[in-house]
Amino acid sequence: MAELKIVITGCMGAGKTTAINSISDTPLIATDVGTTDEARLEKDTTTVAMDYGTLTIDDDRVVYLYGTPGQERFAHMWEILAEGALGVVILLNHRREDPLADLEIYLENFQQAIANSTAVIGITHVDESGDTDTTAVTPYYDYMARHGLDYPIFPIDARAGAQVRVMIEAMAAMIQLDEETDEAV
Amino acid sequence: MSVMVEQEQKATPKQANTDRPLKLAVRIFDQRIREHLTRTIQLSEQRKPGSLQLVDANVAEIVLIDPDEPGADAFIRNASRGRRPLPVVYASEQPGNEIAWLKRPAQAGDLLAIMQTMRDELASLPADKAANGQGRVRPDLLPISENQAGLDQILGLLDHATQASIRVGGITVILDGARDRIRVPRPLAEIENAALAEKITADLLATAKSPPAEGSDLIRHSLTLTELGWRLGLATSPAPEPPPDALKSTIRLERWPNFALLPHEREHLLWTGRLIRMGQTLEQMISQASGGYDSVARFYNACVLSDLLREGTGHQRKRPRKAPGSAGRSGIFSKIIQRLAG
Repeated sequence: MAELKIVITGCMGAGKTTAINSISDTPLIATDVGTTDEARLEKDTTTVAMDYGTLTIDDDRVVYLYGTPGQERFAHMWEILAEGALGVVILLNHRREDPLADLEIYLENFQQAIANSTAVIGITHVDESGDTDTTAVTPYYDYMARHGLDYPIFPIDARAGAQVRVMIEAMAAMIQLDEETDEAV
Repeated sequence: MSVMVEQEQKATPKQANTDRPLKLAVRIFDQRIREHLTRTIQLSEQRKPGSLQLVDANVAEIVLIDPDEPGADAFIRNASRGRRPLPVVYASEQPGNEIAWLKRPAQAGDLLAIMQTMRDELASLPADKAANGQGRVRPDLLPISENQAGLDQILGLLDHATQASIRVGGITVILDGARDRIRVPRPLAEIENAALAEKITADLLATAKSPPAEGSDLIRHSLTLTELGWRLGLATSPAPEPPPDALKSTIRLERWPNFALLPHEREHLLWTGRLIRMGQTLEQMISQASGGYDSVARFYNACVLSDLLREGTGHQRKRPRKAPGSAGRSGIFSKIIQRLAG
């Protein structure tokens, strides 16, 4: 049986590890190391291989939650991790200099996996930016509209399991919608 | 119990009157800058008596803002929708041609010049633009069986007011359009007056009593207007029969409600996906809804009150066919969601 997995990706410091930790059944297995380059200004450690947690959905099946390393120099791993995923969660740190450029990077690099499943966008660190939730998501919706995309976008706190769960729920809704669309064709 | 609305700041006058002072506010947190601008405004007033009046941002026609400060973009966003006050960005460099700009450091002559421009801009705002926001008309609510007048009043305030107060059971709630917040004079969690039975207040109470989000020690003292609208919409009691013409209208959503914060049912996510992707008529939604018309009407009203809905012809984007084997994933997701909920 194919491995069931949801991939959580996004830039460094967006909260991927935290998000997995907030909903995983099992203690997170992380591959964090100390940051040594300019990234050190943003956080002390970062993921270099992957994080993973699990969700046991019944007696026989486990869904793996894979967190990708955020830095683009690890992009060679992204495609491998995302192959066959049920869906891709893209987390964006709203306080980064150009989060829309970050979004573009992840949409491009996970294009194939998203085309075969779906994606949900989570915007983190909105509170610290001074934006309201509504003003914060506007540029992301504008970007999506320009590119003909309709993925759900939510401002979230990655520490809050309930908010991370909403992204999975939205992913489920999009998958169901895709299946309806396919049946109608 | 009725909701009393005292609109402190009506949608401002339809025509700017050159015979009266322009109401100007400084909404900049830096005290030194604020003091400098206040002196500059006073100096301008001495040069041209009766031209400017320094007021609070809540009642201003024009507001000076620092684009780098929190909340400044709310004024720009409001102005883009035809709401007042109109912002003037105070900065060393011009932020863009579409935004009025006062060069820093300000001088009285520059201030008077930009204020004349703004006076003209106020005068040129069509009345309907000022009232509705660039002609955008919010769709009507589906009829509700109680307190329709109260909700209509709130709807009007959400569209028009810079700031207004709503008195409910002796407590004054401030609707602040410019800052996209509804505030109460005390922390929400302290309001326990059982007499506040009106839906709006019940809703505030429900929010106050709900535990803070996991992992967050944030204590909620206010709601965004979007959140208020959403919660009120879900709390409405729809009239038994929808207007026949409403059933045939195609509806679409502009964006996803922030379900990370807003109360919702699983079905709402699916409806949202459909309404964003291709649009549906109410009739179609009702035929697919487990809760029938009542649940759809609450959702619809929540979308209207939180300004998420737009009317228009639905369209179907061309979507790539999924790879073989993608079918059946929704079953797995149902399991995942059950697991997460449990």
